[in-house]
Amino acid sequence: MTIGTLFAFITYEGMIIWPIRHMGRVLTDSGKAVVALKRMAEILSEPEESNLEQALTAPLNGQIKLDSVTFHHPGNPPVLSNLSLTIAAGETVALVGAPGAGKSTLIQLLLRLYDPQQGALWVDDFDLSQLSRKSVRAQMGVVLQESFLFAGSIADNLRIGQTQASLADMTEAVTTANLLGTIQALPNGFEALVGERGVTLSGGQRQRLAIARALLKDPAILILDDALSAVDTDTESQILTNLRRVRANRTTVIVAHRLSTVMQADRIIVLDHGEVAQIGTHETLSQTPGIYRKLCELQGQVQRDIQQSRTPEGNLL
Amino acid sequence: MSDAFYDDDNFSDEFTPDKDLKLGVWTQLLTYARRYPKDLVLLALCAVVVGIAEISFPLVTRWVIDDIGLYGQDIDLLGYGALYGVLCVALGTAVLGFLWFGGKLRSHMSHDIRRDGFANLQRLSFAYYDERPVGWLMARMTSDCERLSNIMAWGILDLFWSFTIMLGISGAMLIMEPVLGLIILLSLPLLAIISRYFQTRILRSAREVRQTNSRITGAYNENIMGVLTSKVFVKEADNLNKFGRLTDRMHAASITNAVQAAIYLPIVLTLSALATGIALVVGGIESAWGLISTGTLIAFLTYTRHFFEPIEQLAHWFAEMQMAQASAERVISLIQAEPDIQDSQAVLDRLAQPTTRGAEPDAFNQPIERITFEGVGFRYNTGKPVLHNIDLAIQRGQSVAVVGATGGGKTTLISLLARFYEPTAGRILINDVDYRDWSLQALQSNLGVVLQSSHLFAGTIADNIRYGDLSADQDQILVAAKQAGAHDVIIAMPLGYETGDW
Repeated sequence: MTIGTLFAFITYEGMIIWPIRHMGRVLTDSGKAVVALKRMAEILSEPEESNLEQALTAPLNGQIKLDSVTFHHPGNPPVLSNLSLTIAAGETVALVGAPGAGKSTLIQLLLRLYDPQQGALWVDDFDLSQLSRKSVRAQMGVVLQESFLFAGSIADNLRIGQTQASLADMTEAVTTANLLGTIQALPNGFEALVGERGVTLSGGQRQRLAIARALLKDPAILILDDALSAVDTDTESQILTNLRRVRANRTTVIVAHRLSTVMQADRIIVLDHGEVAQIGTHETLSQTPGIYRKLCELQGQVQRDIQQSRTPEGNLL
Repeated sequence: MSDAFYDDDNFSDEFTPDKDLKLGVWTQLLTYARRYPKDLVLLALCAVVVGIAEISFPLVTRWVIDDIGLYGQDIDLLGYGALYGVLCVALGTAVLGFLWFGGKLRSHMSHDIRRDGFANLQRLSFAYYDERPVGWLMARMTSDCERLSNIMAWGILDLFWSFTIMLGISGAMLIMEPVLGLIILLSLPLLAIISRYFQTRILRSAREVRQTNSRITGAYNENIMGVLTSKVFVKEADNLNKFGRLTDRMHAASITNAVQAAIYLPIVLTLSALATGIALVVGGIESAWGLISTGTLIAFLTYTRHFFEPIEQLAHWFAEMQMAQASAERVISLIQAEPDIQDSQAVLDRLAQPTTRGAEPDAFNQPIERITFEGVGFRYNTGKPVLHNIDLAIQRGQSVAVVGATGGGKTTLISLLARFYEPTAGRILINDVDYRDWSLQALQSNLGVVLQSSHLFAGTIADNIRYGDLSADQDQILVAAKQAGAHDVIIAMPLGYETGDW
């Protein structure tokens, strides 16, 4: 062997050792990668919401029918049991009932966030389970219990349901939600940032923004899920009056605990433990013994108590 | 939508690379490494040993080859074999050592930085969170921590290793062959210039990658939190589009980064090959004329080849540190951020005083008898005043209702009372003492606050109720649940109070 060959040999040998230096890191990293891969696969293999069903092509009239609907979350007792009820197109219906009675669940089923285990929901003449989720949701305006605002301007948040909405449309919607004054008082008006790092809106202001956002869609069915809870009674009654005007002959479902919110509804549906306990107007139900009348008595009692405890100095903040 | 937030003035400094390294920041981070002096010293030691071993191998080769020339078959290889064996064991042990201590140091540091960051996030007042996007904070606490500890541990290793190798090789080359050595060393400034040129560019694109990563974390956060709203407004496709733009940006920046790195490395390799070529020609001629021994030539060629590896590593770490500098500053600022609401020095002094046996550790830790607002006014950092000149007196046992239109300041009033914020005008007295003279602990443990949207922590129902008083027993939990009217709902669940996984 020549010295040249020996040198080449030694050089090669040195080169082979070099990658081994990196092997330690590569091995650790590949171990991590295997774990990461498994965790990603877990998420990716979750079944997606199917969206292949028939899409709604025409606007809905807004009739809602529940036919013996039973629903439970996996491993839990039924939230709704054998529930049947009908809401006519154009009607304003209030859903009342103790917490856990199934009001929010009913609304989640209407939005096809869940599907019932038994029974069927109908909108107009369509079996809800045969309609694509997106087309159903596109026709509904929903204000959820906890209104989530996306980081961005007020206008961005309003346009979420109606990308093309003009300033006039937005102004109208926030006027109905009794929020115009608040927005105009902000330094940048509609362009003021909300959400993370944005201006601090109070709970009631957030709720009203969410109402305006839903109204802007001009939905066939408007659903307010306890959406006026953080609004004072004065503002509430103004919003309800406005709603009666803009939602005349449009289906509106209001979930609420406060009497003042539900009193004006065309019909009041009282849920109890996932079943319909009572249906009627405020006038009839407040005269009939039952859950609703108890509610009236309780809230009326509270009202009277406040009036009695009010001292001459008006020592109420 | 959240996009614009990350371009805000307050945060944009993260995205313009700093021209020079600020040593202060890194010294501060180094204090984290210094908490583990044993690991740190051993890591540096291993790096130096690896360097010395790598420098020694060509020398052994040189001696062996020269001895073959001198003695032919009579060469005594045993001594060299033993020396070679010792070097191999030293190298192996040192490599094992640096992987071991480097890995330990990195884990220690990321653990400590994360813990300190989290601890401070718990201390910081509410206002801090008003101003910073969640995604930004999360990226700081996760990927930035990981990255900084990586830099600190592996960077320290490579710095020591590189300097040992370069110093050792330069010395050996200059001693063996001053002229030839000088020629090779002359390529160094050229390489430094090229490295700097490329690394700043690589740095910039990598920075863009990280910036986008921050936003992607933010987007994940917003879309998970707002999933219900997205669904009911059928925003899935829109959100996906927006997210797609973010990942496209990440994708583009990552490719730019990869291309830049792909160009840089071959240039370094070519230069190193060129230098080896020069060494081969000049050294070959000298060797032919008998000016240097074959062994020296071979050792020299090996050195030339190894000489450039550390430069690449050094350039990499230098750029990485430059790039991570803003991250480092952010993480340090987060760890060191002082809550704007904290116990005053007077309170701390009082708490530090020794207490007599059996006495309350804090004399102020007593039932609240009176709450008094004196001309209290408040404005949020950026906003208009929310509260003006509020006077209010509440006695023990009274229940007081605060009513008013939305946006009227009710929640703000409560936030002030709970000292989530402090008044910007006037003062709040508890038992006739300015509440800033109470310790936060004494004040807040005397308050039970139910917020508008109640956050439940992961755990069972019982755990969540016990949150207000960790020592509460089962009976107390039951009583509290009954008082809040939650008992019936809870026992209707299959697991009752042990229902978990919110």
